[in-house]
Amino acid sequence: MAGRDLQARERAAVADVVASTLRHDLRNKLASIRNASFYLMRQVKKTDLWSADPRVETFFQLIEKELTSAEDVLSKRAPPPTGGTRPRCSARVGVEHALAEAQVPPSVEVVRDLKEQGGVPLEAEDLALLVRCLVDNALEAMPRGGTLTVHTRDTESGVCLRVEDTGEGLAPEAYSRALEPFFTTRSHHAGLGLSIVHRTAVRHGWQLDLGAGPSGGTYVEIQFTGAEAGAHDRSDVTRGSK
Amino acid sequence: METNWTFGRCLLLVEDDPSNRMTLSALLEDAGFAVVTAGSYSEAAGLLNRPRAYDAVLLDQSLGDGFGTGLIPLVRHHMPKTKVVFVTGHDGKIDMPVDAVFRKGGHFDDLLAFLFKLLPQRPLGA
Repeated sequence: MAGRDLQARERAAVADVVASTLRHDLRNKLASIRNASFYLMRQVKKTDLWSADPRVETFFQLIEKELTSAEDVLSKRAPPPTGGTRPRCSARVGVEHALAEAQVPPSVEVVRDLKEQGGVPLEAEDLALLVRCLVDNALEAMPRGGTLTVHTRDTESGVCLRVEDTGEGLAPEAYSRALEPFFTTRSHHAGLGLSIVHRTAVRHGWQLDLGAGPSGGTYVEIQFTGAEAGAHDRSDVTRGSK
Repeated sequence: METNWTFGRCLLLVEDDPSNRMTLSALLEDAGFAVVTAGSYSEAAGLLNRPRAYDAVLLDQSLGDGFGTGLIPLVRHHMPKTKVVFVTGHDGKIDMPVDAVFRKGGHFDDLLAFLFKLLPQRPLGA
């Protein structure tokens, strides 16, 4: 049941990234068309054609009207959920949930270094999805095996989660692109996992750091803020400690 | 408004979409700005490491070979008086250390009015 829920959230997150990417790309195209149309209109206004054929102005107005309609369609979003209490969960609950769902090959050793006491401002399933994206990414970076380490610790501003692999790491130019949707260095991969994590981090104002770890592999670190450190639901901790 | 206040002002437009770069730079030049363009992160980084008195840098976020945010420290370091404007097609909250955010797709006249408010006014004849 929990696995299906995580899959449903993963599908929703993927759809969110795809839709957002499409909106962004379409907005780019519409901006080009609007700017080109505006430039042409200003140039044509300087010529006799502008006064000789009233349809020229009408057609520029029509282009503008249709562009505005298209942008309105792009801007329509589902209203954000309202009411209810702010979600909060134990980081280790999300980590354990994600690790239970991940397909860890025997050649990969999983190290848990879970030291946090504070809470994360997410529902446990949403945190599990983020960790699952990071874990899958780390596992894919180690096709010949290695060590996957998940660290959590308390910081002054909240909880820090770090997922690290001992793979070959990324080329320097790939680090700057790794968070983009559909960017991947591996065949048969959609390249959406890190983008899902990045979108969530940006939406919540969390700091996300990606870089080369001491082994030469890659680490991704999220600094969660917005939940009171040390004030988590004790029942979550108990479950997560099992 | 255009030719008076834009004369002598220089903008760096960092935009990886060729159509957007071409149309926006044409409009900005038509309005009186001097416009330098960069079509990628690396091209922009190269320009920013050779400081020039840009009045503002118009930055897109997704640049193909990097993120516009990565260029902000270069601007702040080399050109502390230069304004940084994010011109973005991304939706959602923008929480970045920039001077202003302009949503891509808006009317050019709005962008012009936006820049007019953002850039420090100069005394007449300066």
